[in-house]
Amino acid sequence: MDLSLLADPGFLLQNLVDGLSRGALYGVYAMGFTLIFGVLDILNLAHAATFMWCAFAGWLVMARSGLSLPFGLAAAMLSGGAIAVALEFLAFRPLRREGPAGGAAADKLSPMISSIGASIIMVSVAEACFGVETRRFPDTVLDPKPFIIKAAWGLRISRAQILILAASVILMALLGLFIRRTRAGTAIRAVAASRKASLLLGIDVNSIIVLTFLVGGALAGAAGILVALLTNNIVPGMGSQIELRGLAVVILGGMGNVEGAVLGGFLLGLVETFTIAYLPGGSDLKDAIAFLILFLMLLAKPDGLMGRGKAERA
Amino acid sequence: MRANRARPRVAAAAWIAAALVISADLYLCIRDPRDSGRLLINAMLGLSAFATLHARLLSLASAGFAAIGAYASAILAVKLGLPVYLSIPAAALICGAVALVIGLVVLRLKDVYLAICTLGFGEIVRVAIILLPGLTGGPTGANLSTGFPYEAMRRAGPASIAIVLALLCYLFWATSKSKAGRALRAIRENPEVAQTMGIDVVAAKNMAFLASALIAGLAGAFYAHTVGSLDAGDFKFGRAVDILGYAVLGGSGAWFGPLLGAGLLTALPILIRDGLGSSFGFLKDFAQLPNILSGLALMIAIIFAPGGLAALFSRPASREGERPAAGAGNAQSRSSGTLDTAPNAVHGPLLRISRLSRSFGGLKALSEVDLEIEQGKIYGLIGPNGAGKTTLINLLSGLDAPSSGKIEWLGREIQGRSAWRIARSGLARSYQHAQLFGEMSVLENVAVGLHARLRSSLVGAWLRLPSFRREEAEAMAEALELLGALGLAELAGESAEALSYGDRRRVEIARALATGPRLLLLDEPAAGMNEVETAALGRFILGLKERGLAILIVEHHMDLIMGVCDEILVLDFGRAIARGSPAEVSRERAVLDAYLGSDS
Amino acid sequence: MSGLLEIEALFLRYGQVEALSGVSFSVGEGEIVAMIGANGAGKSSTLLAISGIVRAAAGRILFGGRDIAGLRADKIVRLGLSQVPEGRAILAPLTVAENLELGAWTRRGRGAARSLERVHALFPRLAERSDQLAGSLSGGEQQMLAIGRALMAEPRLLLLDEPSMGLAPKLVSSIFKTIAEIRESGTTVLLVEQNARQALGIADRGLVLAHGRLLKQGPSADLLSDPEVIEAFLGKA
Repeated sequence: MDLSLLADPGFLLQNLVDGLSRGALYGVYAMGFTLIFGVLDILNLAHAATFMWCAFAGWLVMARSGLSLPFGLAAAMLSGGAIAVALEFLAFRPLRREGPAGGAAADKLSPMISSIGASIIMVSVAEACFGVETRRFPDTVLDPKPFIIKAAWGLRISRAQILILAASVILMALLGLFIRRTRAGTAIRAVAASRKASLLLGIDVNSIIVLTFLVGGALAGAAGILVALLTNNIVPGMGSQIELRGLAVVILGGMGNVEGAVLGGFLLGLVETFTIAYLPGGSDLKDAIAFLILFLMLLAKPDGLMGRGKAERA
Repeated sequence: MRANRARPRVAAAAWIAAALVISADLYLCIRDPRDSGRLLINAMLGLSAFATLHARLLSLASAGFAAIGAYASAILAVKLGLPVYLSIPAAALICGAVALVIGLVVLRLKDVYLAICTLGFGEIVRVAIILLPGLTGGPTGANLSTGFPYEAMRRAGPASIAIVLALLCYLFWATSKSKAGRALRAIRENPEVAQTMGIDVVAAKNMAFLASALIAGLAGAFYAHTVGSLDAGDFKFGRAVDILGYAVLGGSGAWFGPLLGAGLLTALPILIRDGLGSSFGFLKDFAQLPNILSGLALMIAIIFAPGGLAALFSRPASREGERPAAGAGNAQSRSSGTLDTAPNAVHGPLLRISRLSRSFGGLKALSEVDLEIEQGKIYGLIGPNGAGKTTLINLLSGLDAPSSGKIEWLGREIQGRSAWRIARSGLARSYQHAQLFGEMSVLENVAVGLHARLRSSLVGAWLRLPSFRREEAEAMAEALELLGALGLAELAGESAEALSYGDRRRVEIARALATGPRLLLLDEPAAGMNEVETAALGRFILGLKERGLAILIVEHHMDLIMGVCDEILVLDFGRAIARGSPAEVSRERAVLDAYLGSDS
Repeated sequence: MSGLLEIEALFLRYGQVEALSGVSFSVGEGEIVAMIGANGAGKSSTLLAISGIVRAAAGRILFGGRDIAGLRADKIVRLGLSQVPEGRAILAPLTVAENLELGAWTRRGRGAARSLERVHALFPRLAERSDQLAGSLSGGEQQMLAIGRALMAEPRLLLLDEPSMGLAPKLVSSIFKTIAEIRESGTTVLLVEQNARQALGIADRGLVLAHGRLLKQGPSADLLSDPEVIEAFLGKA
């Protein structure tokens, strides 16, 4: 390892910024994912496919129709919500035949498998529609030239990164407020805690579940469009990279724990970036890190850093 | 029942579907012999998935193990020059070793987390392959294709794979007919109850995982030698999902399920594309069609037919439950024979509980309870709801560990020991809500109870040795005798879930008795029974006492308790508040207060 | 006579077990009715059927003259029928205040502040622990929270399933005192209890259930001294 790198504050700061913006993306994606898990106790493995489709939605709106950035963001988030709600009705609700209170514990697996099927269909349809070549945004959408801050050791930060950091923080704050301070958000937390008790309180559990998917899907959409703007590389297969990272983040932060997802996201982003930067051969390891973390967490502390998931058999 | 009437029609449809799948596959193989190799390998991977999914372990590790098998055999062949018939088995064994190691930690995890972990495993394997180019030839396996002995495979080719596959199918079939097969089916439905039948669930899961890894390794090794070149992407996430698809579509209830699933999912897309492609030209270029169909098939299967194709066939259980031939059970040899019998009488109390306590957080479920149980006596445990009765039973059967205190069974301390060990040492229990294995016949359910007393090995079952067959026949005869003692002999061949509630309770007792216990814990055996049935149960329990069994009954049916018990212990708020004969206890003021409620 | 709640020939099955075999009774406005009986007699099943968590196999459940059998649980709550389930079912990861706030869900926040004041007056301990996580409360406090939460909906009929379960004897009497106070403020109460003595002590009438059937009903004072009732619990001497 090149020890001189350690002493370079500019390099450190650059990686910090890169790591945080990467981590912010993971966080936004994971928040939606963990929200759904918290309420239904299932892994929605079609979340990544939703993410991908929203990136294309944003691209269609901005690159093809020439509308500006806010329209693209809105399009992405709206389509994310719509797709997720469709998933709830097509892939998940038919499995809850016993009614909203939920049935056998053994069937936590069927919804997961159903979402895998849905995901395969979604990705294949995207390939059929868009082919495999990469789509990009024109420079008019977001000027790719980065800002260079001479005062901070020549830190390079692109507009996309600024957008990501700003948007992520705003989304995280909004979600936090929604979950904690609104009636609907409290109802979501109630349903996540106990569907039976929520029914007895007069809460329409099925509607709350739909709302959760709406919010979760919108977050997937936001993550999708932001990643697309950062990498400028939109392909039907773009979900696979973030899917496993999303799993790692959610396990890291604790299943169902939204704050944990944020924390875990930033952590993973930083660890990945710093590994690439400071470890020789680090860029090959980049892919493995998320899985390594996943593995280690499941073995050592399966309930996550901030806990809630009950991962081990009693 | 409605289900039974529809069964023959459904089963017929299933047979037709299976025949269609097989014909489609045969057509495929004839049309292009290269496809037959692919088909057989997919079928083998399906078997690999079956090994774990059958025990309800959602392991998605088969793809990862196949990758290890493929690369290991390729490396052994190219770098060490091992011939085909050595490199392939060696690769499988390497997979097995890896499985043993990671199984120790990974199998502790619950369903969903196990799935994620095994997915992660697959990815780690893929990344490792890329990161070790010196060994693996990097992402494209470049330096593994020269000197590859794939000529040998090309010649012997699919025939050798088919032979190995057929052998594996036989082994799976033979296993399903042995006590190991019953144990796995029991674990599939209810691992906790399986434990209390004396089944070492952890060991069984490790064995299933090992088998899955060995088979996947074989499949991967065959793949490497058939294809002749490897790519790190050959076994990535998509493959793991395909394999899951075989098992879901085909059903993990029977070994042939995933085979059918593999057959269907391999043949269907190709046939559709070729078949429809001739009529609708544009479909020929529709490369995503196979994937879309797979995804749809997966969703439709899991929503509408979660048991897969295999579940549609008529239950093998109803054939298993046929009465064993009259000659199989000689009156004398029935209870002794080759099955282990309970050892001789023990001096002193069988069970001694001293100052047993169990707290959950701040709640004291059980507080300083003492109890002694002697051979050949019937004890009652009563108390209002929440008094701690079920907690006590769970502590005794090993499903829970006390916070403090001792449990001495046959002179040895057993608190905190595994439930299966306790069950094997002669302490059996029944459950509050009749937890039978619904997918098995009544006779099989009882036979599961005999698990620990059967001595034949799995190899004996595979070879169908005479000693194995004799032991199985005797086991079935004893199971039938137990059912007969409870008046349930005619129900032997019935599926357990079709029984009435009262019958199920009694089958459960028969199953607990099959473990050959010295002490039987009955958790609310009379719940849901009417007066006539309760009286019959009481007579039966007294009969057990005559056989030398000690019994501890938890009940709310006071008539039963007062009628059969020698001694009664009354719990309230986790404490023992009264003990003595039925007459003494029913007169005690404290007991009346506990049940009716104190005045403040 | 038409009471607030009328149960007619209610049958309930779990799989093949018949938990209720033709139970009929009524609860008049402003009454406290206690349902007692041995474990497994069908008491909880009756409440689950009334609040819509489980579907009755046959029979009618009339609330305020309207048949609610088969209605979805949350709709039943909106009609003014709240249940405090067995084991309390509080929302552990939420605070006491949030639990109470959710209790008023069906009223969409109207008048919730006033209801909260009343609940705080009844259970001062809850006011003290307003921001604490519900899961960290003691058993007795959780019971208070569960009852308070049900009251937030200002129900016409309150169903209580074994409120004394798992509570220390001292707390039990204070809970029963509170239930009597709740009736004073105009809420009708149907109470299922194991602790027959204390339940009958505050109730106007009692219903004795055994093996899914209504064995006896009558004024609570009469039932307390009835030897048949004692037999129902402890079997024939």
